Amino acid sequence: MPASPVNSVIPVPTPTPEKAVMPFMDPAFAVSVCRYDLSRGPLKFSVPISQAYTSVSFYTRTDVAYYAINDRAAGRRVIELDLMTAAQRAELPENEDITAADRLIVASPTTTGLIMIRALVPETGWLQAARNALAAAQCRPQ
Amino acid sequence: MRLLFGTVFALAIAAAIGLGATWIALTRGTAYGGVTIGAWTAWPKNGTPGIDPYARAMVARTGELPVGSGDGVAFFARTDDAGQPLDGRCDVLLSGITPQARFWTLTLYDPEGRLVANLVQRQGFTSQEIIRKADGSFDVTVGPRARPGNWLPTGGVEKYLLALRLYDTPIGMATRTGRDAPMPSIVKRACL
Repeated sequence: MPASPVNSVIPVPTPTPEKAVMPFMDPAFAVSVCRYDLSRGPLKFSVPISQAYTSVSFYTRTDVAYYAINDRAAGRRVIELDLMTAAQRAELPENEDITAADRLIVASPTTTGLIMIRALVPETGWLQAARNALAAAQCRPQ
Repeated sequence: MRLLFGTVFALAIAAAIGLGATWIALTRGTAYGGVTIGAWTAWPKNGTPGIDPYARAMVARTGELPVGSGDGVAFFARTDDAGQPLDGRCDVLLSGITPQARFWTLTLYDPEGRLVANLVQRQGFTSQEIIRKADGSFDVTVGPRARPGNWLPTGGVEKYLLALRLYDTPIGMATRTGRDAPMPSIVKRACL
């Protein structure tokens, strides 16, 4: 993957026979990525779910998939979560009145990594709606 | 002196065999840790931190990102049910049903993971686009020439592989047999 700015959502071009960012990309999806760096603190991530199917996948610095969630598992109209290292999670104040059920926290094994957001395009007419949902994704420091 | 030469020679052969075997494992792929149903194989562990070292090396080599376990499972077929490599100059019939999933996609790639150009610019099907029979099963003809019904063009390439990806599915590492995961049959028909 070419170098891209950190802690922001970047759309990835749909693969074509002539050009693809990675091999074996599924052409039926609109894809955006957020290359993340937690060295300055945790990140807040959110993406509105698209009409058909939306998933968010997390990869370590060495491209190991460590977590993935889809719109049904999230159970809401927006997939939102906090991404932090294990060390940052341990530093969270304990007296915060937020239960685990209210707030999804994803612990990244590495300080940097990649979030891949995918919205299925079941038929070509749905492409723009999928891209619009991805364009509203946010990935930034808290 | 002879002992020294003999030892060096033996070590050189051992290194060649070891490195050669590793290279073959990385380029051809191993079914180790895979779930094989008919001509289809998936490696559900690749989408988790439990990915084994050979799979990690293969994934690093191709540069692909494995489907995360909470997202879905990807099955790959490089041969038909009889074990013959998939040849884009022949008609291949995919027939049957897929395991339970909210959505699935079927995509055709060349052996390096590139999409194949063709006249109708179709590289795959989603479960939504497929025309099904009354009982919910479907046929897809994968071949070089247009066919009625679901036709997935091969562009005439000599070798290709198919990826059937199931999204939001109970299929995973616990899947063992075709009863849990009925996959479409892959049968070669006429060749050009």
